[in-house]
Amino acid sequence: MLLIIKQWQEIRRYMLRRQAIPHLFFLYIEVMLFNPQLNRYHLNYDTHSNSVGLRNWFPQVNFYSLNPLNLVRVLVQCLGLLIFRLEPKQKVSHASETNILKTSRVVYDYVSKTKRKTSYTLSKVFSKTNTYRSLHRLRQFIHKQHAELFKSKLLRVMLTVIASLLVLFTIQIPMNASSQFIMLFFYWGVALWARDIRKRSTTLLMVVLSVLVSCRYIYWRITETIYWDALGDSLLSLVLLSAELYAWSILIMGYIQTVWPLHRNVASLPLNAKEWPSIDVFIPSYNEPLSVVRPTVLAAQSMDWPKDKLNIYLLDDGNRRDFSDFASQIGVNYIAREDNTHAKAGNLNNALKQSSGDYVVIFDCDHIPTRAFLQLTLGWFLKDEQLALLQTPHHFFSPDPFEKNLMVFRDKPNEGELFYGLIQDGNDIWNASFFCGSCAVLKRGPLEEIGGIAVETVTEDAHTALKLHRKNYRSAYLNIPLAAGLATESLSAHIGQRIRWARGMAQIFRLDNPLIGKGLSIGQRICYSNAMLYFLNGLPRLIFMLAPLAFLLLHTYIVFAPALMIALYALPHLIHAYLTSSRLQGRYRHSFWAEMYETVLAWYIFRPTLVALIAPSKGKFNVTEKGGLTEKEFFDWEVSKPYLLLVILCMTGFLFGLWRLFTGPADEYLTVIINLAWISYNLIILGGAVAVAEEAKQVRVSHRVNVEREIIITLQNEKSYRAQLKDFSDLGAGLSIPTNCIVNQGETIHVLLDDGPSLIAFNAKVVSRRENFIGVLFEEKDVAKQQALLRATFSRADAWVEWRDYSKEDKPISSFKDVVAIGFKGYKRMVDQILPKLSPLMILVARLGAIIRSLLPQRLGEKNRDEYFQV
Amino acid sequence: MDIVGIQGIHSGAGVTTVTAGLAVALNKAGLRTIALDGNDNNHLGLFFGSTLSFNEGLKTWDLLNQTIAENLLESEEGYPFIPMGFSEKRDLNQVSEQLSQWLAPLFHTPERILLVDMSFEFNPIHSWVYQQAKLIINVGQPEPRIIPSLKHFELTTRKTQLKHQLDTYILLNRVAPHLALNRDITDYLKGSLSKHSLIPSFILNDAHLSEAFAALQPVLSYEKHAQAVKDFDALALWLLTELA
Repeated sequence: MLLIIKQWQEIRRYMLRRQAIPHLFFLYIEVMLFNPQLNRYHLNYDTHSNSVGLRNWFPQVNFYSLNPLNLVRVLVQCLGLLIFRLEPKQKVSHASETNILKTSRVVYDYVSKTKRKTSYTLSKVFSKTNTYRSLHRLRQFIHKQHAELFKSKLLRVMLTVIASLLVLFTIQIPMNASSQFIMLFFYWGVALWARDIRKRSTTLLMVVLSVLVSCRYIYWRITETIYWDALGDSLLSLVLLSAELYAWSILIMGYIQTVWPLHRNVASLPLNAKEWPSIDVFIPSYNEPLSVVRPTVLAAQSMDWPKDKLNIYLLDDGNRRDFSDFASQIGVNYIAREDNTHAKAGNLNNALKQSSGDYVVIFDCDHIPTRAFLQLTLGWFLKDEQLALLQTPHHFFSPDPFEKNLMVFRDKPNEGELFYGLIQDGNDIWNASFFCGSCAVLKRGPLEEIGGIAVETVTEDAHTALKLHRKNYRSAYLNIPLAAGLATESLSAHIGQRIRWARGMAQIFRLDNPLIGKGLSIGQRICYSNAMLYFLNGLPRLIFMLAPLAFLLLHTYIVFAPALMIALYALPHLIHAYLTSSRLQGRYRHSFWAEMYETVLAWYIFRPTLVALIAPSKGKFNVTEKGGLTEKEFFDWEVSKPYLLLVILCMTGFLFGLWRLFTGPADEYLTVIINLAWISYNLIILGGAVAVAEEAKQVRVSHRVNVEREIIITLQNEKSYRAQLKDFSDLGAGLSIPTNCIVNQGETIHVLLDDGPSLIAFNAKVVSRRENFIGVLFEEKDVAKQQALLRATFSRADAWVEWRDYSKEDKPISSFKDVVAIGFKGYKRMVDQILPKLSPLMILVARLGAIIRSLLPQRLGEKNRDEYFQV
Repeated sequence: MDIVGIQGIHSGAGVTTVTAGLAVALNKAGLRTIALDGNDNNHLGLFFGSTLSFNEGLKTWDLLNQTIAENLLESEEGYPFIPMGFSEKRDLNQVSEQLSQWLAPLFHTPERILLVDMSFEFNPIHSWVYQQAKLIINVGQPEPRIIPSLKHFELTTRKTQLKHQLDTYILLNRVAPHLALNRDITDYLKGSLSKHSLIPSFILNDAHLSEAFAALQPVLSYEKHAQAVKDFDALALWLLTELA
């Protein structure tokens, strides 16, 4: 009793009587029910413990101040716990913990005198090559199903015919609403069941289901939903249908492309370095500053390869004095041209004529190669005589405009991840991985045979690869980031770059169509066509954006069918497509993000692609700007103008929809609701597109790369400390040092970093100190030292190896939540910019949203006190 | 009990420092490790906090009638050590003869390590260590005289160690990457010595070591964030994996 009185007195110090009574009440209930450690709940919640308490089960309920809504929350959470698997959030493991574990394990091993098994991180890369394993599995897969029978071509053809007939039957069989519902409900159930099984065969099953459902949908759309009697209606509905046909073919081709990624591994080189081939490294530059190009050239020069077999060429199309001076200073070849015909492709071809190495390696001038680039890539060429091209991923250590402006850098897979993480690997099994212009090795013979780098289009890289494939040469893709560069700085620059790609791909599609002509396999044709057609997505996306307006504003039935049937055909098609895509590519791109990426570009690429399709030789090459600064935050009105227009249109449509809902005839309710849902989704995506246009600040001249690495610092007084390298750039670094390490601003220290087997001390000046963190600027003038610094930072063989985390599964629902939040952010920014008076309203909406969110079931895990007060 | 000898490749290589630091690191890792001073100059105790005037040790104790349990000293932090002591009456021959008997209770205790600080000049303790030990760590500094010393070491000391079927390794002490000559010699040694004989970790040149010595403290107690502490931890881990 005394204890209770004491607790009451203590709690009353910071709670009102009406808050304190329920608080203590719940506290005692919790103690009685869950019997947690008492000391932890001694009215002081700051202690950390792993035991499970009431707050863990009901994270959304703030027990500090209870209100009637909490009753609802508790009930909803109870229901949620009954129905869903609300797994707790994962805890981050700390490096120090693993060190302790390691130590204790070694001690344990010593004590038990057992032999310790050592495992190396890299062993996975060098172990029995995945490539062979993948091919082996593929064969196994084919052979397992009573292999002997499958060897007969006749049987295979017959089976294919029978399967096709069955598919055709499934696609076209007419059904009434309830049969359709039952069949698709069954399919959906199978897909959901298959989703949780991590096997290739279940992926294939999901793909098959998705293809069946989508084909059935398209067949139904073509045969039953076009209204031919009214010209206006049928025109509009044909427009939508063609957009859907486009999306359908991209979906199917995408499945084929990515269904079986190869995951190629490193092939070893001969032990005798004398047998290694000679290499020419080309670094083309046009208008980039020397500060961007310099690290690339220095790093290329210090790649691990016999020095007499490595020639670096700095290809300067800007014909700049400082570049030629720099080249002669460090001893690399410098080539400049009189004119700049054919831009980058012309520049490379010019260098090709003036060099003679067995292989050509191309780096964009900002792609700093790691020291291991050549040793890890060249092996495949010696294994495979017909190999003419090996591409590695383009890795970026700076955030792209999406990551920067939405503040999701290294949090979500970035825009390029899908292509370099999955699609190229998928292409590889079809022997169709493309050349991407940089970070690639090309064999000189085949390259000269096709007349050098292709110059007919503005995407010379993909076209070159296509030409090589037509000559029956092979290509390979090695999914290990072995070079890293700067991402485009601003959204407008990003759009500019994509316009060029889109135009170039459309040009190739016209000039050298992969579907026709000699030399390509079916797989290659599909992969190339998909890559090229993908860039035509601008117009279809705009059509999808505006399609619901046809009904909401114009009252036109562009899909001439009862709303219920539309729902029964279209929803399964969409659900299966999302589920299967999430399974195939979720690790590389979270669900619903593609819509946002593509919507931003849609308006801008639809015109150039259209022009390129009609007149492929028009259009000029634009250089992608990199290494710039954004000195203050600003909203890029120019870029987002088209989207504001779309937003206004959709808003109008939405309001019209609401009006129709209340005044329209009862039999239109479902149609209106479907259209409203569609347009709301479009509005969310458009909000996201607008949110990206607010350019976040970028004030550092050189990008800092965040790492977590144990290093050593030595002070002037010869005292050495263990420190952590937190980030680095080519100019400086951020370190975390022990508290009692006395080092002052302005002091010069030695930062000790590993350059391969040797430990090098780099002189660095301390420019800032905040508590345990110091910022240093490197003071190395010597070129050899600068190269060593690069090898210890950007060029480390493993610098980017663990950067991309593919272990995170995509969770479509939480991904949708993220996209909704970003969409809302976009509208908030829009209101702040256009109608600042309405800002309080947006804050109110945000609060309402937070309250609604808190009413939903939550994942388990305690929140700390501060988190409540934010909500 | 495993006995590990620590010996210099040249004079002043830092054998006593390494012995003390390694003993502390092993104790910290959870293995009772005793540091034994086998060097006439009686310095080891100073690393564990004994004073300049303290002269007791192997030379003064009655090794025949006493056992280690009665004599073992411990630093303030509890690290056990056995100093050499100073006495004009007894020479090292006597000590080495009686050492086995005195240490007898320990010989059959598993999970114990005895680190012996061996002098550069040959003394009778060497023979005792060569007969009893499992492994010898030969310490050298990356400075110009290590090159001729290594040649001499190869022809004499190492041969003897191998004759006694000891695992013999080389440890680099006072590595200073910010000094060009030191760094070049380190890299040269890494490149030219067999990777089976060179210990992969090394002890960095760290002023904390001499300051800790001046303060009569193990470096761990003097400054736990010092790099030298981490280096001794790494060396301890290496040693444990070798002994396991």
